[in-house]
Amino acid sequence: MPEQHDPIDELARFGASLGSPNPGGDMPRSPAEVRRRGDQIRRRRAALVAGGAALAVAAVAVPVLAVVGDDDPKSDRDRIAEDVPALAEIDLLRDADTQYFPGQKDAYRTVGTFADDRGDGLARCEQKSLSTLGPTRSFTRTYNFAPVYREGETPEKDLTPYDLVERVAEFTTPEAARAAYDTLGEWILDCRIPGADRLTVVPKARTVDLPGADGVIYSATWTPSPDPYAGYLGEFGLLLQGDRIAVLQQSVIGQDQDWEENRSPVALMMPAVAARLLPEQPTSDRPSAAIPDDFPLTRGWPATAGDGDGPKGPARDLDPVEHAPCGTGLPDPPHEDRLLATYEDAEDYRTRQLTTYADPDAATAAFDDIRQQYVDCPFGPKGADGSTPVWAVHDVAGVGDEAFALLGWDELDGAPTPHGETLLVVRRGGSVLVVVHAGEAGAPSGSTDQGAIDEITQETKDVATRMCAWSTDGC
Amino acid sequence: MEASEFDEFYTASFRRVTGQVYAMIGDLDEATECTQEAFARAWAHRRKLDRAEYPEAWVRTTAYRLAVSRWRRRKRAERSPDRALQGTGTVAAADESHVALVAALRHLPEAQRQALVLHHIADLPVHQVAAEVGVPEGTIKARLSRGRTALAALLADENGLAGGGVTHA
Repeated sequence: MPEQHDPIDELARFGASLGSPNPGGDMPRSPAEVRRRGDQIRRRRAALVAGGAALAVAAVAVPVLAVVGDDDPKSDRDRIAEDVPALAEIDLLRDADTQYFPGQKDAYRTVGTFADDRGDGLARCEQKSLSTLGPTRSFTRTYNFAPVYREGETPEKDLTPYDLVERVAEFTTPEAARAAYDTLGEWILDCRIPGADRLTVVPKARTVDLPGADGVIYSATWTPSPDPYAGYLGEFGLLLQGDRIAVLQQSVIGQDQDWEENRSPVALMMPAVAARLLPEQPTSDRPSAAIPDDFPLTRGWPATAGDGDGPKGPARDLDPVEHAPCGTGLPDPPHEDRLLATYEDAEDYRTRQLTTYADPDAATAAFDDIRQQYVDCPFGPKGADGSTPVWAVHDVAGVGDEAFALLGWDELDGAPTPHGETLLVVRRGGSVLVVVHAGEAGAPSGSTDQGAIDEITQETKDVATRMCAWSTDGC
Repeated sequence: MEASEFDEFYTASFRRVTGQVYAMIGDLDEATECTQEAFARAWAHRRKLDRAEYPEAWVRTTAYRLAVSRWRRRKRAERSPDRALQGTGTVAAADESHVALVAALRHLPEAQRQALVLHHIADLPVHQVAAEVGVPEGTIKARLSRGRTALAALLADENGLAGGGVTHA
């Protein structure tokens, strides 16, 4: 066994040798050369800011069509409209569609929305993950009953995590969708609910008359429930429409409910499920959430880099921008589509991330979430190297429907370091653009560096103009 | 900071900082390039540096971060180091008596390596290491203790040092 010895002596000798005249060889550069290099860094940054200002002058001086190039701004939108959009969150029921009693809309409130297998486990009776049935996309939304109380009535305690679940899925062919529809029916008839000591499924499904779609509703009861004097009454609605299916599950505690056959909550909501599930037609006035592959996300960037990879993308498989000013980021809200592009030169790292959401409300919520994270964390957690990230939020006018800039830098020992980045977040309609400038070229000089904000804003304006494709007003 | 003050600071600190960064990352060429780039940035941001209580710590941390950042970018993009950071001169080989020590340090977890280098090589007291790293003094003492034990074992068994590479967070 090798003999162990205290390494402190060796470390100390190493440290002492660093004070010797020539511990690691000659200095590669003289002090004057290092200062010249430092002056170059300063000039380069100044030039970048000046370039941004020049771009601003050009943007004012020429018409918008000239700024965005030769492309017809409507061409992308037209191309989008020619395609049937893929299944998306927007194909799920909205709160305003939900009913409990006939005519009483807005009966449920959304609890959460989940994409693909993140919705597994939320629906009852599914014996395997929905993904095993082969959908290309699926979405799940959970809702809670939102009873209306009269004056003087005391709201009852909600005993269940959610009372309504809708799952929608899209398949490659109508045949694959029908196979999944049949399998889901078998799973409901053979339903197993964890913890249920008695479960009864009415074997004969009620057929729902829906134009262009097949629909059935199964009823079931099971115990126990959180109320010791009652069990659950539930309904399972299944819908097949072309290559898409929907499952709507509603449950309520209280076996004394006795809905008329076509007046149960699920029966009332099935027509809305079918209407939402119908793929948007090309004549729809709703902008498609799909981002064209050739969206000009890199517009305004140099075509090459002297010392780096230059532009990369647009692509969907680049790493998304993470927002974690407090050290831990919030989950990425469900979105419809995302396209990214990056640019790399020496100490000049840029990223643009365009994300589309189901509607402007969802985009606004995502935009607000990002902003609030930075407002809540002006000082991030101290890093392993002792530096502290600092953030300053500045609202920006004149770009998109709303925008804000983030100036971020690290402080060490009470002094700003050259490490930092400048971000711009722009929302227009149902889309949100995040722009990051990092490295020496992107680091702001303090909390009020208007030059850095102007630079990133001007460089982004062309791309922000093209986000009109997701504006309710169009381009 | 005036030019003459910077020149004096650079001349007095460059070799020491380079050696410390070398001990932390295990690559003398890389340590040299990153340290000289850190000094160039120190000059470019000299007004910020004037506000730092320990300018040498500022440069050391900047150099170390540059090294980690470059390593990550190279790993991701599989490309050569920034030419802008490459020096024009030559760097002599490290003292051979230190090669085994630096090789052993490379096999330690980054946090332990950093604590050992700052305390025993940069000769900073524990409270200053804690302040520079941003963790409590007790954590630094624990890292020093564990690092010392692990380093002793590694130095006793140099055959076990073949292969491996820099450990980065």
